Amino acid sequence: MSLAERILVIDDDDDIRAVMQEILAAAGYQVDVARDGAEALAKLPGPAPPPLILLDMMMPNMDGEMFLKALRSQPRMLDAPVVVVSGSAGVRQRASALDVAACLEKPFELDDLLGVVGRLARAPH
Amino acid sequence: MRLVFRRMPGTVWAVDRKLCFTYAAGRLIDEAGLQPAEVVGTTVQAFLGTSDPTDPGIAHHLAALQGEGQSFEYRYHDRWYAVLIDPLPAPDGAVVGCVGTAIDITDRRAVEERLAASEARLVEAQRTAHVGSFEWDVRSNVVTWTEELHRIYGVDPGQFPGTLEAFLARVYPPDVERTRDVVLDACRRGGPFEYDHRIVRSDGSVRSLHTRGEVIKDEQGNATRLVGSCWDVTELAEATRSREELLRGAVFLSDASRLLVSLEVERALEGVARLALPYMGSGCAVDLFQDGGPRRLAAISLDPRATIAPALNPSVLAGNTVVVHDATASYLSVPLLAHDKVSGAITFCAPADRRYQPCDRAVAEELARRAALAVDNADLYRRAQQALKARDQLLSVAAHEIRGPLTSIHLAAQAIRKGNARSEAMMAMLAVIEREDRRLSRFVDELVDLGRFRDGRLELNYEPVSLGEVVRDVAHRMDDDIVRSGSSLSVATDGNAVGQWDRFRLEQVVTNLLSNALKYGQGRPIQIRIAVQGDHAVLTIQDRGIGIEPDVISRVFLPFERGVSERHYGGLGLGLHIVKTIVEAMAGSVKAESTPENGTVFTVELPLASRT
Repeated sequence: MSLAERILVIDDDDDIRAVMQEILAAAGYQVDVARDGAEALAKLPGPAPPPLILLDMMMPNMDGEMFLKALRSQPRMLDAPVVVVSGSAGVRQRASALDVAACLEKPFELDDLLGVVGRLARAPH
Repeated sequence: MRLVFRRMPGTVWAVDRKLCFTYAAGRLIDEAGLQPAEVVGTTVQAFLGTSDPTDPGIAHHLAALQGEGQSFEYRYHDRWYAVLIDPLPAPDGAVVGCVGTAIDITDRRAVEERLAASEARLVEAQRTAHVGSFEWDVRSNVVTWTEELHRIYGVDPGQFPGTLEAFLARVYPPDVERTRDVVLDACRRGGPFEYDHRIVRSDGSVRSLHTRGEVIKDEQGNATRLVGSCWDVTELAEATRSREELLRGAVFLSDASRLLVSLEVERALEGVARLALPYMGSGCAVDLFQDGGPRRLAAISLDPRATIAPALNPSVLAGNTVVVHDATASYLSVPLLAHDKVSGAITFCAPADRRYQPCDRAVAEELARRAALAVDNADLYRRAQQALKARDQLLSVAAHEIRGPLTSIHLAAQAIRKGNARSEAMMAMLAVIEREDRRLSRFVDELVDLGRFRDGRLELNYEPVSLGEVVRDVAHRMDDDIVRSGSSLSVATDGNAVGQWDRFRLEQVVTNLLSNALKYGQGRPIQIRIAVQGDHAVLTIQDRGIGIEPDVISRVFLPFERGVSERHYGGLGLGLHIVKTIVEAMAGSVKAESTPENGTVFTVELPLASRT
């Protein structure tokens, strides 16, 4: 499996979104953000290869599970790598049933974030 | 001839027209110690010792002299005589005197009197013991009743047609067939018989009779007559029945109570409805009044074609027992009443011939009391479960809500320390730490407030406060949040809304309502209006966001409730609860009005003067 070119951070918490975007950008990744599932789907245009998706589960409008369902219904997104990032108890158990690449339980260490991303996205320039 | 007379048990005499004895012989004379010759020449008056012409002894002689034979009974010296006096005609037909005979009937009369007396005693005995006798001549189908049996049936003597059919027509309808069987079976078997049946008296009342009888047979062994006695055992039967009823009632109540111990009260009540039949009737319905209007929980009938019960009587809803008898059925409804609250009703119904009695009512009311307690207990249990669930939910929501800011602070601090953020982003990282730190403090404050409200430890420091000033301060402090929400905020003030309020708590009210509007306002304009109406200040905060569903709006002020799932929006779900608690502590009120997809208006009314 080829590594993702870009990263999409989906979280309704403005500060988490901003901090993760800054850390990943400072590490050289191409980062995009969205505040819920619907906004994220709109940011996954046509022919570009799927990005690495860092996905919060609890969000207004379209939550993580709904987003995953919509994502996997697109044939070219079947293999899109997804990392669930959530603060809910028991997220690991739920994530294992969701066909995702990894799971980060809030609050997590900065090194854990960079480690997971490093495995799934292309090395920074 | 004289000898013949003298041997006679009676007495013979003859008198002339002056009632002078011309002849006398027989026992009376002997017993008087006289010789017949001594009597001859004396008068009847002298013999009887009276000259009263109305004395029967003299009057009948005088009547006989008129040509008419006389027959009468006469008491003489403590003995009774049957006396015959006939005129004695001369050959020319003229009555010259009369002849008399007297026979002692004292003993026979005594027997007759005893017979009459014993008959009278029998009548009296039957009347006092409510025992009547009957006789049925099988071949001629003639039924004869004694006086008391007429009385037992409430029929005047002569009014009873006196046939088996006429008798059966007076038997209580459900008992007719059995009664006929007993009678016909007795005829066939020919032995003694005994049975109980009920009758309907002429006045319509129902009585219970116990009957014992014998069959009298002819030489061929065929029944010719049935004779027997009936005993009115209504009171006895009622006493026995009420004892049985009491026992059955107690057994039923104890079985029902065992079911009602269950916390699954709806299933328990359904079981009770089944258990109640047929003891309490042919149908049973249970209604519960929780969550608004009455809801029929169970409707059970022994007759699958029958409708169970009519619509609930309003009087039952008001907490009264209602008994209704109509042409087709009888109904008994009891309210489930506990702590002055009607939580439901149980209705029994029965065919029209069963009329619910005070004992049925007593059992039903006792059952209802126990059922009401069971409903109450189940409700308490449900509320306790809900409270536990709310607590678990609070813990899980609080954990989730704390992990958010914690993650931001964690990542931002590490990024700064390890150099994982670009230099131009340093200030933004520090701002994140500061903002998220305040968010955590707010959570802690909310949790502390919640505990304080629950214990009733909300202390208010009243001072003159301008509502407009408070709104402006809060809006200024939340400027960042307003900008990030995308909503615009306009504030309109009408009048000088200055009152005696707690400034810090009022700021909390405005902050929570404004946060709420920003959170659910979908970036659309938010309007705050401040007005004075009479002795009240009125604050309205209107957003044009997602709104609140009608079924949820009544709950938004409860702790941990929110208009939407906590999966979608952050926060502890305590904000509006805190608003309501504070406003009410300051003697004010708060309400929410909303149209889904069109936004929500929160209106707070506060008295200008302090009420404490």
